[in-house]
Amino acid sequence: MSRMLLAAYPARLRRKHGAELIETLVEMAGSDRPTRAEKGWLVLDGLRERFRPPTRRPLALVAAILALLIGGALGAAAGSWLGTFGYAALPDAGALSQRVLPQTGGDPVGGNSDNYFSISGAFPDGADAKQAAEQTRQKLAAEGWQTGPIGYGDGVDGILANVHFTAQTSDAQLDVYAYPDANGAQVISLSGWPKRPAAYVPLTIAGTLLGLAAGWLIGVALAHRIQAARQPRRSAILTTIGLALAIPSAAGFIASLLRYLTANDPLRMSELVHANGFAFGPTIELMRALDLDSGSLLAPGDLGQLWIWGFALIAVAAILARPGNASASALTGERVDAGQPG
Amino acid sequence: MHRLTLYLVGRTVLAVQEPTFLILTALAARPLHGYGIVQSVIDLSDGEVKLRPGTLYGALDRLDQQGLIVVDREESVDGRLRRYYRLSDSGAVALTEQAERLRRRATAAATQLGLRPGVAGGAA
Repeated sequence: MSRMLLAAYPARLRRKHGAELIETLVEMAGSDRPTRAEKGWLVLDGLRERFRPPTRRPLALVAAILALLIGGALGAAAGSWLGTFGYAALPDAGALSQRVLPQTGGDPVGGNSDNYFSISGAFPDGADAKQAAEQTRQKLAAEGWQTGPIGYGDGVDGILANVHFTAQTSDAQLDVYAYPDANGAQVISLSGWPKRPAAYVPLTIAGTLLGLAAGWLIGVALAHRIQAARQPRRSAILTTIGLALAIPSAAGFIASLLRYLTANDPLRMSELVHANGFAFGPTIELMRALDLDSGSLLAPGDLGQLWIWGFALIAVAAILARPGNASASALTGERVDAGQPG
Repeated sequence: MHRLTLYLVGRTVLAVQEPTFLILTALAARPLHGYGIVQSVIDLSDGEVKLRPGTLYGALDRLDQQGLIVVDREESVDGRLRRYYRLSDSGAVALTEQAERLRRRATAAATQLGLRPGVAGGAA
């Protein structure tokens, strides 16, 4: 029973004061048994200790705050990823292209990914891009898609000159682009993605809150562990590097998530934060917006992986931070007073 | 419950709640074990502060980390462990400084009250 009550306390306090805690609880109850309320307070006080960072350690506090923020970002990623399970099933790209793209005999290129599809095919030599787009638009409308007006891109915005329109159903969105000159070829492409289901935002918020709490608890526990370690410096350095590696992924993901949640419809397929399953990093669209998509030091894919290395380093730091003699010395009573004026 | 800051020769050692200050006060006279500290704090605070085991050992842990208290000895009573804590030298210095600060505050308050108009002995 007492072991269950003490489980609320951080391990270091349990090791150091566990027996005394129970002893004092029993002594305070006197000849009676401790009441339910007294036991409840014992557990609550223990949980509160878990949230308490080391005193007078500004760097440990900074690390715990970073762990809080990174935890919140990872929780948001987990929550929003769970939200994608509510995405509607998308039409099969190959079958749809058979029905709505001009049939030239060539095989269309592309297919379905986890949460989007993209496929492109040629349109006949001599055919006009606007005509090709208009035909596809009519076929989509006949299949029940609500189609938007035809628009034109002149190529100055970084996208090849094109004719385009959007189409949508109640739970999916489609972009259609016809390029009269894609490196000499005439190409028409479809890309589609699901609309956000109602549960997406609540799941994301719940994930964020859980992640914030977990991040703070882990950060505080690690800070205490490193403080009491025999060789704290080694673990502190590893933790610092680990946090530094995780920050770009966390910041990139949160910025991308905010874009995804606030972008005006129709958003672009590349705004999807979990286009290919779980992701914790910036989208290509964010990198483009920041002008980091080409020739930058790190590709979006790298930023999506960095956090794994960061977390691995932090795990190594935690393993290496074995409790030293400092925490045990208090039990012997032979401890030299720390903080004694020099 | 107001916050107090413990100083050691002018350097901030620990920002503490009043119960923690009372724990130091309790340990100033003689070493005490956990339950002894709880009882002493009740007496010292005129019954206002009743520590719970969880808050007591959380506070003892922080005071120990800052070197303000040390373990005095351990005794086994009827097979039960009793660990006695005492104030360390730096704990005594910190408590002395804090007591002096509180005394100055109390004196200042009394002096100001004495200057209150319409009170016997104050300015007319």
